[in-house]
Amino acid sequence: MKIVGVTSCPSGVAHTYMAAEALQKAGKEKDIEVHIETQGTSGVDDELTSGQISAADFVVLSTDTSIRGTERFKGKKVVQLTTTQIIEKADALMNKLSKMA
Amino acid sequence: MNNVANFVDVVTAFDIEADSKAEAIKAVITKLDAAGKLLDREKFQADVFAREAELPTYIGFGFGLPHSQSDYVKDATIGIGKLTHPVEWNDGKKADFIFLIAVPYGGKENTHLKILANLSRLLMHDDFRDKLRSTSETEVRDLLMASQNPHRSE
Repeated sequence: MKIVGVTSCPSGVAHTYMAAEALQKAGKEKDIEVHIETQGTSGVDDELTSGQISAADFVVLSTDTSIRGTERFKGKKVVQLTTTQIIEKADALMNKLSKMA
Repeated sequence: MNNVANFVDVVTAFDIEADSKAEAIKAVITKLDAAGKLLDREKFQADVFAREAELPTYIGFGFGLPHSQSDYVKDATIGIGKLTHPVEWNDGKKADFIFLIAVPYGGKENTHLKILANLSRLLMHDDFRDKLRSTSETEVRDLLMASQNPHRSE
């Protein structure tokens, strides 16, 4: 299974990156390929490629602030959660998505 | 990656005796102010509480992560607070460890933001949190300074 995602939060300093790391860590533990783009105060890091997006089974987007470039995910299965939910429940989310894939 | 110490300072406040989240945050802010990291203590505190009210910052594992990018911060600083007993952070969740991030606005230089991003990522790893919890107040600064490279999964 492959997952891509974009995280962002109001101050763009901490939760953006914690949520990204939580998803990447949970993916690594479960052997799921995960690519996460962060949209923070210091700019966009790890911008998703069109190849990564087209290969992804699911897209995870944080809902704390509006994500830029959501048109890239048209037609994809999108899961939306707050960064706090992602941070606390990344493992459970990965398990759930694995079963749905 | 650049050395953390060149861009972000660390201030510690261990053994905080607080009965509420507000008291605990104030105790850490007092240390930041005493270390000369703030331009206006009261206004910075108001910014932190405003951010906290907008979206509470409990991140799990007994950690609260209050933070603010504020006009009233002089130098980018991480305030590490350790409480003698947990206080309710939000939604019934209790924190006994505080990671307060104070970031000034302005400037094109964003190295401090990258460093804070990396430290935020590190907090997601239980081995790092365990180290933080078991490290003494005099050594926690060195721990943060030394731990720059998060275990990025890519």
